[in-house]
Amino acid sequence: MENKELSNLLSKIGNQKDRLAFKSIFEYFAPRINAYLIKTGSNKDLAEDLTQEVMTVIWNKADLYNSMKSNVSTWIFTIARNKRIDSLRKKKDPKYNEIDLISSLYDQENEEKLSEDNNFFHKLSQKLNENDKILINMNFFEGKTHKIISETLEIPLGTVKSRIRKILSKLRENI
Amino acid sequence: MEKSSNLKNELIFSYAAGTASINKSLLAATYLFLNSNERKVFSFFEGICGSTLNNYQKIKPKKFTAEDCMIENKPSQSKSEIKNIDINGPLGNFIDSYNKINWKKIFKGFDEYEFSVSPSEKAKLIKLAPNTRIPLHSHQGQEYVLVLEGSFKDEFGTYKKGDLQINDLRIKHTPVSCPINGCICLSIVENDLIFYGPFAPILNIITFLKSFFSFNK
Repeated sequence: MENKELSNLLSKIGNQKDRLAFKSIFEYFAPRINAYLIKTGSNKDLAEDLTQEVMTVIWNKADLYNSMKSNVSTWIFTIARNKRIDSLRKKKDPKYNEIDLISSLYDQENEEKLSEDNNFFHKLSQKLNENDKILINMNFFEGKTHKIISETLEIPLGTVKSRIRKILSKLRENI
Repeated sequence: MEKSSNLKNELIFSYAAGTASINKSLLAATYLFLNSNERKVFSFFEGICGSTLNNYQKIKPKKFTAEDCMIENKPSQSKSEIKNIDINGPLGNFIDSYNKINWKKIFKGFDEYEFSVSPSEKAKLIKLAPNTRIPLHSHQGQEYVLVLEGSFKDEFGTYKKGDLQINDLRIKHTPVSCPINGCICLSIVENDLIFYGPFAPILNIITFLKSFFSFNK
């Protein structure tokens, strides 16, 4: 689904609490968020709980989405990402509920507007070859260290490090 | 410098992806707060992370439907009272003012303050009085030093407010603070320092004992 279409659906939810629009957003994103959470280490039960929380946030806060600041996938990704970190933190530290630390670390007003749309980022990530995608996924989404990646993929540690750095530099060149 | 910019890319990307540790997230958030240009890089990386959502093979949730999510959230509790803080940005959530900190003297001109960002992770503020020199050392793991106030210089250059230096075992350096203002830095260290030179044996034993007792607290 194109970003423009997704953005229109969100504004209908935000302005009119349009249930039909929410169902379309749900159909598109809930299975993907669930997959993202499972791939990044949550068990099936927890992934579903968190997905439900994310979708409830979207229902309640769609009016806060600003299409000038980010595209819909990014906005929803940030909600899912923060829920995931929250759940990991709560697991490690039962007292964690007392402070909303993650929000404080991510809640920065970012005036840097990006003109690129979802399609641009999608094309850019498609430009990466399969090996690059595997490295980025393992390192940054599954949180695996360079050493573990090196052992799992049976490639030298130095190669893992230099390839990851090269990929990020290559991506950054597109800004 | 090339290497350092690569490491900054990794820090910002892992922060955008949400897989950076909490102390590195604090470091990244503070670094971005002080560097508006880098916030664009963060937004860009966040855009790439967001686009990956479209690539996941769909796994349909079984326990709930869209209807179950269309419930009104209770209005969120109003945020805690506005604190009187001197430090802006993410660090202000942990520290109110550099002047109210109970600094611990390490040696003449070198004070530090260690604080917890989570039960298992710590960060450190370092305060160097004007013209203080830290003996030649390197780092077993990576050391991230973000200048918050003032400046310092070493064999690799001068670092001012907002500059981030990333060091490891391959880098030996002798930082010296600015002769007029000194400096205050946020430091995240993965492992202990290794000192070199005439006082190295004593300094390394002190470092070992300090980390041993801090680990067992």
